[in-house]
Formats: sequence, structure tokens, C-alpha cells
Amino acid sequence: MRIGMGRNSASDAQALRFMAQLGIQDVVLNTPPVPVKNGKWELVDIVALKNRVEEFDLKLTAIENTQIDMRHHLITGGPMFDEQLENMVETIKNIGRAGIPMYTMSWRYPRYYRTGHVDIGHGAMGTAYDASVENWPDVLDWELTEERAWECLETWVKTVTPVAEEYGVRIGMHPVDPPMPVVAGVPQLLHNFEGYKRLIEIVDSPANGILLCQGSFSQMAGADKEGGPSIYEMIEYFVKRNKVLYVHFRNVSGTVPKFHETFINTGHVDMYRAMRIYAENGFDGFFMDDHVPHTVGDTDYGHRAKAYANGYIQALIETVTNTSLHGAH
Amino acid sequence: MRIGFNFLASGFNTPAGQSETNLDDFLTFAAQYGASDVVLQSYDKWGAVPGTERWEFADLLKLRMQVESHGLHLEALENVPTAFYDHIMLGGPKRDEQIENMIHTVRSIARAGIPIFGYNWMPSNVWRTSFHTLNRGGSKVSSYDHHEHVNAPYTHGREFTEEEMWGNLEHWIKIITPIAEEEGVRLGIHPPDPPVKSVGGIPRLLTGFDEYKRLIEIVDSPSNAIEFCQGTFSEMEDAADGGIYDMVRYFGERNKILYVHFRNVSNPGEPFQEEFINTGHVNMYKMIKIYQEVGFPGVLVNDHVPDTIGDTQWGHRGRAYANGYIQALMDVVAEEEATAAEAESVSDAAGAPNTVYGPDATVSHGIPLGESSQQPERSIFAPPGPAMIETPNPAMLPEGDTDAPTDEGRDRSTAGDADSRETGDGSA
Repeated sequence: MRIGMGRNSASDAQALRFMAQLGIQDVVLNTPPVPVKNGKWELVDIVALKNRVEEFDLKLTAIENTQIDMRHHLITGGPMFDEQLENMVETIKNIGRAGIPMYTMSWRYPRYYRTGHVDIGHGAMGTAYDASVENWPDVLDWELTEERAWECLETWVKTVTPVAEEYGVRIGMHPVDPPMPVVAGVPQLLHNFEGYKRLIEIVDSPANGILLCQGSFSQMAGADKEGGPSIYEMIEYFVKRNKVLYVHFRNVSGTVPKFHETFINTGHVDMYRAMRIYAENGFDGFFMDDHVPHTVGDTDYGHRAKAYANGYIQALIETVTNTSLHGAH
Repeated sequence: MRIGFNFLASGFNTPAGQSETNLDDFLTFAAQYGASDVVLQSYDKWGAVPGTERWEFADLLKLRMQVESHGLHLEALENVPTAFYDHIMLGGPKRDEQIENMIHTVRSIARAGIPIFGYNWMPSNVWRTSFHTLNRGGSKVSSYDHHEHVNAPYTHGREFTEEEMWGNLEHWIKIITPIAEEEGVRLGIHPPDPPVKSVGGIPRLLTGFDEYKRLIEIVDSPSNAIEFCQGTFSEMEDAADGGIYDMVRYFGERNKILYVHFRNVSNPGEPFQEEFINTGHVNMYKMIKIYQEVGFPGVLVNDHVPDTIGDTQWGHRGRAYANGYIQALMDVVAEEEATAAEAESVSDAAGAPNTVYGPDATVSHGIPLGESSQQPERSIFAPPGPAMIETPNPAMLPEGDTDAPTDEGRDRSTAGDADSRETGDGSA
């Protein structure tokens, strides 16, 4: 098990240097500003990203999401469905050609997210969601039933998986966050255990996998209850089947319809127990800190809070595996 | 075991003489990052409170109240200005006068309700060869190579002998220990960093295992103890071959460890350099288990850290990282102990049906079973109950493509100024 960290661009030298200093083994770029040319990403631009990361003696392990406008009709069955499907498949090929082994993505639209903030102690602020105050307007100009939404997802998975296999890319799907069945009038598929089980059964392939955002899974209804299914049961189920590419290792308090983000060790999930489940079931991917509470004097990006979470994660990995991540002893 | 931060009570002075971060901001930072305790430091010329010869009760009380106003406990004061007691250490002409003043200061600390006073026996303070030794990824650490200092000029005019330095230390310990006991304050000495025999004409005295045994045997009292800078102990030659673990166990079992600077270094002996908490020669998980096993009741602080890019001089990011690492270790050992206690209670109950472990039952180190096995908010850091705070722009889009030029789409229609938020690897 390894330690990762993410950023939304490779242009920030300081961020990459910081990762190198903390001993980060896997870098994730989340929706990096790669130019969209004729609806897709070109090989040359992706290679530039990879080279940039490698300048810092780091490894670009995953691209997490392309711009939403490249794929929102794909997700919602819009008039540009066929065109976006074709362009995204071409983009996956280019990611594979560039030698980046993972592409992770969300299957959600629109990307509404939270309804406010909560003081989680001494003025530290965590983002919060409360369905009772949410009033996001409907966003689609066309009708989308849940059946049609599944049809779109199945078409994508069946089309892209053999291509991803051929090009050496594993694809991992991020849950909808907040994990609600409907957001702004749009049916959401990957908001619970059942949805994910259905996803991985569409095509049985290592290239049809999961980005296990443990935060989002922990927000799912029942995730805080044994048999709920609990977050621990879900982790075990997917890790056992080798479906987890990597993990957003963050914590929350509560589940839908109301929850808020917390520090890594102040939410409802016992992170040590979670980490043991990954290890005991043979997980060989990496963990990264994710979004974090805002603390005094920190940057908007959250350098301090991310460093805190990352230190916590490194300690858990080293404890559970009983080895040094960095060959120190 | 509890977790804390340590920092200069006067704020951290930048070269321009401006306080980079004031004490209230430090305290807020510590509280937000899960600390229950703080250790406020003085160093060389920078005192925790005003005073050129001694500290007064009223100033110290005010300091403690300031800490407590942040919901934190002021566990210890660390150091007084060197000029408060240099003649005591060196047997100078102002020794008796300084002893009177130090007694006053120790009494003031105790009466202000601060339970621990940690100090050092280094008239010439800490020595380093460089503060800019390159480490992983271009981070910078301090390092010490004694070969560069063997010919250092005398810092205090002449070569002092070990005998006279021990004599000075013993004189002081015998005077101050009964007073500290009477006042109910515990005193502990930080090892000389670097722990070399002598530099600049001054013997460093407390440079190894035997020397610390000698110190605690001068007077057998809870008030004659150790400020356990684990970093400096790890620099000792005695730390080699597992010696560091033996030292913690030895002094921990005797309840001589007042609080711990929980940091790591490259190797025992010199030359050495400081390290990230998990890249040094000491296995910190193994170490924390020893503290747990010996029932260490005190505070761990992260202490100084490598200088990483974009960080403050004090090292907020680096210390947040180290603090996260320590909190994880503490959560792990607390949970392991709770699990072991539960297993024990089950087997006891099976063998002896009358044994009842009620909610007030405690395991060996005074940790209530019910509490330590509780989930979810099991951590050292239990935040107050949340209160919703209204935000004018509720919908936030944490993905990076909020900045994408093509993204004028409808999914941002209620995003407000969300795109001014610098975000990265957020959930999708």
C-alpha cells in the first residue's frame, strides 16, 4: 500500500515540490487544464503533463476527471451522447498511450455539492450537506429516466472497457457526492452499494473499477450502521474483488440526508479499522488525502490540513503493514 | 497520553523582527489540529513573559488564562532566558543571586497553576553545523558534524571541567527539588543538543543513558525528572542498537518522563541530521507502544520539523504533518489497548462470572474502558457539537474544472463565487 496526493494542475511547482518532500509515491491530477481540442484531449498535451510531474521525481499515476463539458451528455443521455462517447474513448486511448495507468471519473451531473459549512471545533470549518435546505433547480432540458441513465452508463462501460484494457488503462468510478438518488432532477446511479455492485457487473474486467472515495461512501445511507451496509462491509466487498484503484481517505460525520465533513479522525469512521480491512484483503493501491477542513491561516487549497491528513494516513499505512513507506527502518 | 504543540510564547520572530504569528493564532491552530495541551517555550533571549531576572506570578497566570481561553491546557513552560541561570550552570559570581531568583520563578510557575517546568543545562544553547542541509525533495533540515566544531573558541572564556559542571548541577538540584515538591511543580531537564561530550569549552553533561541515571539519582523525587526530547535522545550514541527504546522504557517505568518531543533523526551519534517523523532511524510506532506500555500519562509534542516549500518559519505545514502522524499512532495504540481490554474482560467473564466490567472500569493506565472503546468520536480530539452556519453561496464544486475556460455550463448556475476557491483533488 502506498501514499498519494492530488492537485488540480501540474503548473504549480510548489505543490509538486511539496509532494516530493513528503515522500508521495503516486500523484493524481484532478481535472487538469488540458486544452480540449475537438472535444478530446490530445496525446501531446497529456505527455506534457506526465513529463512535468516527472521533473519532480514523482509519478503521475492517475488522471481524475476531464472537463465536465466533455462528458455531460454522455452521463445524461443528451443530444451529443454519441459524439462525447467517441471523444472520451479517444481520450482514454491517449491517456493509455501517454503511459498513465489510471483514469478515474465521476458519473454525475450536475456537480452540485454542498449546502453550507459547519464549525467542527475551534473555528475549523467542514463543508456540510443537508437535503432539507437544498433547493437546487432542475438542470436538464431533456427527460432522463433512471432506466435511460443506466443505459448510458452501460453503453459507456461496455464500449470503453475493452479499449481501456487494450491501452493499459484502468478506469475507476467515483461515487456521486452527495450520494442522493436524485440531484437537481437528475437520477444518480452510483449513490449506494447496489449501484456499485451493478456497475462492476456490467463488464467483469480490471479496467472496470472504482475510485473508492471513502468520504462519499461514508456519506451513503446506512454507511454508519453494521449491515447498513456499513462502510467497512463495502470496503471489504470491493477490495476482495480487486475493484479498488485507489482511495480518497477522508472522514465525515453523518450520512445522507445530512452530513458534514470532519478531520480525518473525528468522523463516524474508524480509520484504523478501515485501513486494516484494505490490508487484510490484499489491497495494493494507494491512499490520498482529499478535501479537508479549513483551518486558521491555511491556504484555500488547505496545505496545512492536507499535510495533517497525509501524516495521519502515512502513520496508519506504516502501522498496519508494519513497514516503513520510505525504507527508513 | 495526550497530544500537544510547542511554540515560542512570544510568537516567532522573523529576521525583520516582526511576529510572524501571534500567540492567539498559534493557540487556535493547536486547538483546531486536535491538541489538548500546549507547551510554551522560551529560548535564549526570548522569555515567555517579561522579566530580565525572574518571572512574576501575575504574568504567568495571565499566560495560562490566555491558553485556557482557547480550550487548551498549559501543560508546561519550557526554558527561561539563559541569562536567568547561566551563573548557576557555570558557578559564576552571581550564582546565589540567580538561585534566589530562580526559586522565585519556579514558585511563580507553580502558583500560576502550570504543572511542569522543563529546562536545559546548556549555557551555550543548541549547536548546529547547518540549518540548510538538503533532504528529500529539496526540503531542508538542520545537521551537526562535530568535526566542524572541535576547535570552536571558548564560549565562556575557558575550558570548564565535567567535575565542576556536575557539582553545579548537583548543587542546584538539591536546592530546587524540595522547593518544587513543596510547590507541586515537576521539573525536568532537556538533554544537551547535540549530545556531545563538550563543545566550546563547556561539558554537555547529560549526553547518555548513564548520565541521566546519575541525574535522577541526585535526589529521588517526582520533581527531579526529564524533559524527554526524544529527538536528542535519538542522537545519543547510546541510542544505537535499540538503545533508544531501552532508555524510554527505563525512564518511563520510573515515571521520570514529564513530556516528550516526539521527533526523529537520521542516526545515533554524530554527524546526524534531523528527519521527517517517519524517515529517521527510530520506529515511531514501536516507540509509542512503549510509552503506552509503561503508562506514560503525559503529552507528546511534535517539536521542530524539516523546512518544506512554502511553509512558515515555524513550520505550520510540517508540524501539521507530524501532528497528524502522531495522532494516528495514538489512535492506533488506544484502540489496540481497548481491544485487548475487551478481550480480557470477555475471558475473565467466562472464567469468573462474578467479574463485572462496568462503565467505570479502567484498564491499567487509567483509561476508562467505555470511553476508549467508543465510536465514532473516539479520537483524542472531540469537537463540540456542530452548528450549521449559513453560507450565502451554498453550492460548491470542488473539482478542478471549475476553472476550465469551457465551463460556462449550467452546472455552475448557482455556484456563486465557488470558482474563486482554490481546489484540487476533491471528490467528483
